[in-house]
Amino acid sequence: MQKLVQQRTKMLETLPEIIGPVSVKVSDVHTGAWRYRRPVIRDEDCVRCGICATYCPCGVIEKTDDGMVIDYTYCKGCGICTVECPKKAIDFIEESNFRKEAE
Amino acid sequence: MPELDLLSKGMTTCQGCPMELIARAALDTLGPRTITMTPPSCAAILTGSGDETGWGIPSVQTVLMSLPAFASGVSEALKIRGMDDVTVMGFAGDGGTFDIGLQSLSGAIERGHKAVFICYNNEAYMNTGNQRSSATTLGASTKTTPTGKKESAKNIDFMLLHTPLVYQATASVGNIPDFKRKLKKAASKDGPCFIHVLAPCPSGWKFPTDQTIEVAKLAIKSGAWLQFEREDGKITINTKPTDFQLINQYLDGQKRFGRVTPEIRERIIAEAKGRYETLCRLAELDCLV
Repeated sequence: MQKLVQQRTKMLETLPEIIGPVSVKVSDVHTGAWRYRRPVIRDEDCVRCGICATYCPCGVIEKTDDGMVIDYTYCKGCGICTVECPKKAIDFIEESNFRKEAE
Repeated sequence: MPELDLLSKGMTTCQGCPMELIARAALDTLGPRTITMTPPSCAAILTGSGDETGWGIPSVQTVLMSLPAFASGVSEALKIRGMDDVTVMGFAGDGGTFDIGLQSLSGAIERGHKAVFICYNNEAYMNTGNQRSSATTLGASTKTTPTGKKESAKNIDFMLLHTPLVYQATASVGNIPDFKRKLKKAASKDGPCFIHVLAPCPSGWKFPTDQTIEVAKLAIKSGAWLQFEREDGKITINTKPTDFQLINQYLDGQKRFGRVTPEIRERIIAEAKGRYETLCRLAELDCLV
């Protein structure tokens, strides 16, 4: 959590010049807790077209040099990316499977 | 380091909400030199309350009936200060555009202020719990029309054809690159612009959350939603409907049309055909100023 706040505060410094009053309070909700199922990208099938990132309503999918990365802190698990992926390279896996692994 | 989004992550919109996607795509196109305003609606979630907000740009929470009036004021103030490169974006739902905000929208358009008005149309008052609005489609069941709406929806696009808009377009979340192109065009204009975006609402229209984009795509394909733009007095149809019988598939995919009778179904298809034919005839003209 502390790391996340630090990262966000650092990112704020990269903001361009602001043209009016803006709230700078960081108070996001960790919407990842809403998720029943988790989208997982199969990296070997992914062609990095970026369509999932274009259509993700929460903007949690990012194109990096190592392929597409999903931010599970905020992913609500709506499943739009799994349907829109032209290669069907995103699996939609029950969240309970991951909890078992963590335990 | 990844770039900072102008709209914060972790907004408390519903799962699969197309409104958030529209806002993200809009900010992606317009960039940081934008001022936005939202009426009390689902979009108010983005603006937040108190000293919290989701937007990384200046934002105003207006009253429901006068968002375009707020936009006019901001636009004029920017003109006086010589900030011509700043875009004013009004972000209202169908209640704030079709019903309650209509008179102030028509006033702002008539006065010719430089602003972009985006209407995300989810076809009911979704934020207060799915009550009927004048944008609700014929046959759709809502909290206030439990047996299905008996009247057809108000056609705001055809109404606004006769207003001095510099640029008018319809778009859909089913085609985000097209929406971004239209918004870019609108932002470059010096005058009032209106973009009407279809936003299929998973919780109100009652379909699975992963189908949001598919429903929007099917609406374009079936002719239930027409994609066109008006510029310099000329209408351009962007996408031609493939087959109007696909409307049956469109209606079956949503539980809000669960009580639609075969007669209403016929009427919906006939109305969609009629709208498209009218649009085709209007596209032949070049005097719609």
